[in-house]
Amino acid sequence: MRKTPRDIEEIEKKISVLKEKQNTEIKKHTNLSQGSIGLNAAIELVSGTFVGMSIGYILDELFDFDSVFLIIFTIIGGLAGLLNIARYIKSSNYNKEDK
Amino acid sequence: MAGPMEQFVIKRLMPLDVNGFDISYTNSSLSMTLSVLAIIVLFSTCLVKRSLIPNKAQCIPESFYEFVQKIVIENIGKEGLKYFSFIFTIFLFVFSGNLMGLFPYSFTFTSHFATVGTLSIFGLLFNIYNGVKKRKWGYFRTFLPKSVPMWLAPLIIPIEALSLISKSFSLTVRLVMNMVIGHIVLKIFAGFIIMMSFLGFIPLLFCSAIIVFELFIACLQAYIYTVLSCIYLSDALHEH
Repeated sequence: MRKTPRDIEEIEKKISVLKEKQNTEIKKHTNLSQGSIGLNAAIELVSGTFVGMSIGYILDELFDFDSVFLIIFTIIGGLAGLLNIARYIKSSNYNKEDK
Repeated sequence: MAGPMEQFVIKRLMPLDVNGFDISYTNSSLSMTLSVLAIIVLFSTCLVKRSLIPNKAQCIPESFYEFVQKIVIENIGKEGLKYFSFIFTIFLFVFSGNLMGLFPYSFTFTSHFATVGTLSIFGLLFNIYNGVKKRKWGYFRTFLPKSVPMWLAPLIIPIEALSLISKSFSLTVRLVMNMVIGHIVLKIFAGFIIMMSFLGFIPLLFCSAIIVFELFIACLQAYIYTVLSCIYLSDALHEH
């Protein structure tokens, strides 16, 4: 069966839609070495803990509590840091599988 | 001889005090002004004779533009091009700041928590604003993912909120740490050149190698800062 110009136009449209889809595909994280993954993970953990600690300290100063918020927010900050590490490593692994 | 940390000391060039607030023009402000002026001069001189087929000078700003555009499309998608101007500004500011610090007697403003921290907080607020603008109330689902049971909400919401805030902090630490360490090492080796008198050429060789390495780090850190800013913006715009 011979292709008519209309069919060809439709195929071209389909190709351009697929190309567009391919271009907009979101790629997570760039390729990083093991060392930099470790360093970034450490930074995430320290950052989380430090931010939690700072917020706890400020709240203690504001409400005149005796280190209650400091302890609570340091723990929450540490957990937030761990969560960031888990997400970071997950996305790194995803990238490896992607390669 | 000046200590290795002395290069990071902020000096007041024009003392200014407004209602008890110290808004003095410092060596850090001067460095920021110079780097912004350098970008403006570079871009405006290279883009004087614009043509469809770019000439050699036009290729410089265009290559920067295309480089950042590629980062934005890869990490946010084509819809991210709406925020391109913001990401491009961040990239050029950090990149020029990192490079500016490599000149003798210059000041590296990207080695200061106050500068990079403010930039990161601004980026965080930008992400939250655009996340809320695009996803409305759905943005706050970030703090409590659908799969999490409600009884865990009092624990998960503060963890997710702190996780969001700590992202901008880690972005700051990463850049500042890299800049500070590089400049300290450079200063220590430069100090050896004088201390070792006629054998000073050995640390001089090291210094030359470190300068090249620092040049690479300056570019890499600007790239990493931009990529991570894009990833955080993408997280705010899209559902997990």
